[in-house]
Amino acid sequence: MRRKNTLSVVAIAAVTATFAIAVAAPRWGTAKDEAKPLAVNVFPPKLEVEGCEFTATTQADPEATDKPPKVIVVATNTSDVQVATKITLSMTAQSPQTMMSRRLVLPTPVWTQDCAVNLSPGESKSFTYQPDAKIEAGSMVSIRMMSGDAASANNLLIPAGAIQAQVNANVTQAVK
Amino acid sequence: MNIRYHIPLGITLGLAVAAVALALLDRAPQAATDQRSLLSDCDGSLKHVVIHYVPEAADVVMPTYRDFLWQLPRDVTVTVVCENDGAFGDFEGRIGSHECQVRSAPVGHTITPWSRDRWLALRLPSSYSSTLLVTPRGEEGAEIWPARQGDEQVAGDLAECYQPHVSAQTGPLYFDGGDFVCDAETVFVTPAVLLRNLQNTVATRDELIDQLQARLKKRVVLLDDAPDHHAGMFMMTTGNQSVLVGDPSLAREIIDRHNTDEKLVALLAEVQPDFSEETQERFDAVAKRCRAEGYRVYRIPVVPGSDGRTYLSYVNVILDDREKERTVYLPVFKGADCLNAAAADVWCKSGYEVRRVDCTNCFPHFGTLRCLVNVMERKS
Repeated sequence: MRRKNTLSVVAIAAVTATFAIAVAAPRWGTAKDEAKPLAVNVFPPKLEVEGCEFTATTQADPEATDKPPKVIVVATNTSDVQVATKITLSMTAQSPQTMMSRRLVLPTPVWTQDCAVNLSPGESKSFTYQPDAKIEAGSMVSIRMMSGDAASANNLLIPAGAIQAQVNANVTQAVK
Repeated sequence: MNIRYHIPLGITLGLAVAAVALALLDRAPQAATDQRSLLSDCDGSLKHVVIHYVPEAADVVMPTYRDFLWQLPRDVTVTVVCENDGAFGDFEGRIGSHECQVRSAPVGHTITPWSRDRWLALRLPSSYSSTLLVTPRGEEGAEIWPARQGDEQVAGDLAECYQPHVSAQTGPLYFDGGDFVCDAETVFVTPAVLLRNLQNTVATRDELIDQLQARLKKRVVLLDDAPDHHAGMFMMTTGNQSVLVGDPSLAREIIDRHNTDEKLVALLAEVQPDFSEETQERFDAVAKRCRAEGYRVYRIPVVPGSDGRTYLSYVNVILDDREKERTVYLPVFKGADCLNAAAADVWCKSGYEVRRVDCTNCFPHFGTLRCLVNVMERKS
């Protein structure tokens, strides 16, 4: 009789434990999002020349599929004296050789532009350029600022033309 | 005991057991997450590898996959990531005989054939450890390249396929998996990782190294000067504090001795070798840096192409370190018999049994065996 009682309690405990584990386990079991990545800000590359701080960003024209993106340079005189200086902007382009490629081809320079500034202390100015470069369709471009031996890092690659929406549409269609 | 106490007592006991079990299980993966390190390229036997298959690229990849799978041991699992069941059926129809275990992972979106660059595998040496696949913050060219956009999702697809043993996490940095080569202690990282992240995700070089060390749990050697290609195209760790580094001058000597070999001449016309001093210096800089980091360096022929991307490389290998033997799955190229033989000889002298894998059709697309194959799990 005592053995029967014990078995009965054990059986109920086993069923309960199995059920509880089955219900609770998924919270640790899966994990596309097992842990959040470190929070790191993406910030545009900077170049400091003679007390002036330059940043360059790119902006694709949503209507234009055949033009490289506009380049927007912001120069800020962070010193306490008048500064006249210049930097050189350089755009490179790269694309997959074929859609089977493992990598993009090496970057090729496609456009350079001098940007001269004359700024009072604390003054900030913005300059917008539309590169006249001819770039192969499906290329990615990047901007770099240079002055003498100093250079900024490259901006992140962005599509040369406004093909983002088109590519997204293709992908959506393919998945459907 | 009165029967009316059986149910509450049983439920209480059951809940207590479940609570203890869940607490233990909850702690285990967390601890593993904290300590998991980047899988070595040269330590431990292959257990689970991942390849991608795209039917449109069959001519490019199938000769390589056939040679590789045919020679893999029975206890290795090969997961074939493909867009759908039809693609896997196509793969099965072409792959031929093999002893390894092949599994399909249909993902429902487009992919490229290149598995290596998609994720880094982090594990504990214990066979009970789960694998964490760390993906880059974004794939280069994903905006213009639908298949590359699909590649961004593959680590998550694998995690869903193999949960809870595999999980995926998007990392905070930009990289390609091929930018890293490592052994049990050290991970060598290409300058490209610095170029892609500096002033974009990190402020300084030191910050990048700190982040990589914290994440990969290995000493990080960030190469300052190296060929502008993935690390696995110009160097490979071989265990025992040794590395093999490509040497264009060795290839050039061999080619000069075989300059009447028509097949070799035809192959080289495709590669357009770059034997310039500048390129040689970049390979030498890698060798010098590895020596400075305490590694024994051995050199192996390599033919870098003038486009900076097309290589005849003999370090783009998969290594299998078993109890009784170490095996290298070595890329070889039709028409380059003299180079193939010289490279195999270097690997033999490094203590590896050589199994050749034909990479003639894939090398013009900027990658070979290691670029196509990613290793998710090894047995230590």
